[in-house]
Amino acid sequence: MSRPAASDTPRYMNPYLAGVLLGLVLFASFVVTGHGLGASGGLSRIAAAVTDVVAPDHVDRNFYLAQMAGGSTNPLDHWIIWGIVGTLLGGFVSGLLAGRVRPEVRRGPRLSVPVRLTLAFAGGAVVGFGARLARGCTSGQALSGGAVLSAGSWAFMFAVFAGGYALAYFVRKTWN
Amino acid sequence: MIVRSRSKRKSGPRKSPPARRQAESKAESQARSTSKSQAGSKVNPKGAAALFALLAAFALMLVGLPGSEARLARLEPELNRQLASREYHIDPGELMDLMYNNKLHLFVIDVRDEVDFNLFHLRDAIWKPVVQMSAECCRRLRAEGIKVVLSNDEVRAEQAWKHLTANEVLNVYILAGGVNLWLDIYKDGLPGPPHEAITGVGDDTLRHEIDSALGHVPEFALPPHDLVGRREYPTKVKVARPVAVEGGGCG
Amino acid sequence: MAPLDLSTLSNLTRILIAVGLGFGFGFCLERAGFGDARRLAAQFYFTEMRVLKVMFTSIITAMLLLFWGVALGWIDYAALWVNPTYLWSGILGGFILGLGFILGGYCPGTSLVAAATLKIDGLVFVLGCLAGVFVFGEVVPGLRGFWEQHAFYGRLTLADWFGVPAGVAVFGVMCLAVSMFWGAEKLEAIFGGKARGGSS
Repeated sequence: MSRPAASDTPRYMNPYLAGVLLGLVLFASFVVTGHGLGASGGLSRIAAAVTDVVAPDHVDRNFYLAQMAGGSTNPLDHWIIWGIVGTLLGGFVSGLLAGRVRPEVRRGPRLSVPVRLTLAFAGGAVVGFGARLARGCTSGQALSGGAVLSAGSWAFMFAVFAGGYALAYFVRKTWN
Repeated sequence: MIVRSRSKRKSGPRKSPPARRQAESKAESQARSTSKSQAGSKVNPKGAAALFALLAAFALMLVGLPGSEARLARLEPELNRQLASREYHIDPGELMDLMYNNKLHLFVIDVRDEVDFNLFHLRDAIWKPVVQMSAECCRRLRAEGIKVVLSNDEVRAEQAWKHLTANEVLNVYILAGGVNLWLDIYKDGLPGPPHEAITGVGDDTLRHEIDSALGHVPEFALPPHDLVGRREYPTKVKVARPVAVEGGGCG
Repeated sequence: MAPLDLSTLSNLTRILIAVGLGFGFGFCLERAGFGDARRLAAQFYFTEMRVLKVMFTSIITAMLLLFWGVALGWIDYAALWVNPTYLWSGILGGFILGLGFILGGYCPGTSLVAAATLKIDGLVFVLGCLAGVFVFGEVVPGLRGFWEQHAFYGRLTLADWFGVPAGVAVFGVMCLAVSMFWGAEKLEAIFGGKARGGSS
């Protein structure tokens, strides 16, 4: 089978089917561990771990960082770190099976690579900030909290869509 | 479009014998390109799945979820352990400090009977006798705020605490020593035992003589502000901290 | 009774469980096409409503299974982690996350999947996330009162909020999801049909 060009449409799974499978994983997580999935909390812990190496006193004086890494607490000793490891592996294996693992920059047709990467970094920073402000991201809050009917998680989810749609018009040239 | 028709073919119900397959597939593609809701044999899989999901949810609504009695029975051992360790019993001094703390919402819930409540109760106390507590009452209390339940000693307050906690109401505490101890300290001016010595032992009857229905009028319903901090106690109320499942949430 | 008591298991077993669940998570995300920023962004231009479909389907699948488990007495709902509701930090944080989502094209989980399949923009996004959470950590002490106490409702569910039994809330969410799917299909037909070389 010839390697598909980047602009070709890969054969992704039916979204409803993928949703059911993801729902099963989510369900399994609750049944086995009592909690759902997550991602942003792990990134927060990684950042805290790095900060703790460079400036441990600063970590101890900051209530948010101290919760994770104060004193001799190891911020990486948490299930979510291993969850991230698993997520990377799972994404990689799925991509490998489908021939979708190759270095590239996914970007809108009108965007150059440097601009795209700058936007990716900036977008990531905004997302990271927002996720910790909300105490979770789409996986930790929207999916997990949503499934157990947490009111705050549902409010969060609608706010995410609101934010995305609000800005979409202004950045339409970067995607279309 | 490719993905959609693939899913339709996957969930197609019947297997046609080889002889008719060609004619059949032609009919299939015709059916696909026309309306999805053709009368008869062609079932829209998405519609079917959606209907199934709705029915499952509807059935769940009819079946209902286990009531609070079942929950209480299940949680009882752990709740009893917490009561025995007295980690949720707060000192009268701490309650008074909470009453003067403007930064948080405080709900004082008096779970005694109406007679005792009318004789005397704390300023702004809510009357909710423990026998009348249902799952309904707990819904309104589930919002933010510290709830302190009290009775004359601790018997009914502990019952109420268990009921509320089992119904997932957060931040519920018990007044150690109850109204009897409160009146000892703030009406009779006694120093009261040190916090660790408060046992709350008693049959939950009002020990103090109150001749008429004073309600919350007397000064000791909300002792004067200069008494704040006079009594030493270990702080037990943790403000605005949800009870977290171990390691739960997004970190 | 679920959730299971994992305290008797070894550390290694618990690590493997976390990795396994993460693996399933990442695998499904990649299968769904969420390792690709263009697919994710398409949601906000109505050309492809994958994000909505996958998210809502996964939520209702897990929700139905969980609550049926509770109804049958197999799952203890009180022992499940229900994200506490901090209403305004959640809404504000969610809105900000949405802004970043359409700006950068990913959310934290999907960016990990993208990075895993060697999408450079995904990797850069992850680095951006690390920067963003770092900034948050530095800023949050100044916001502590707001972040820790404002509009904190504790373990508040939709059932509590609307004053209905949990079963009714589940049914309500199901109706919402199905109508959103119906709407999504319609929008895709209208906007996605303006083909830009097969964006399905």
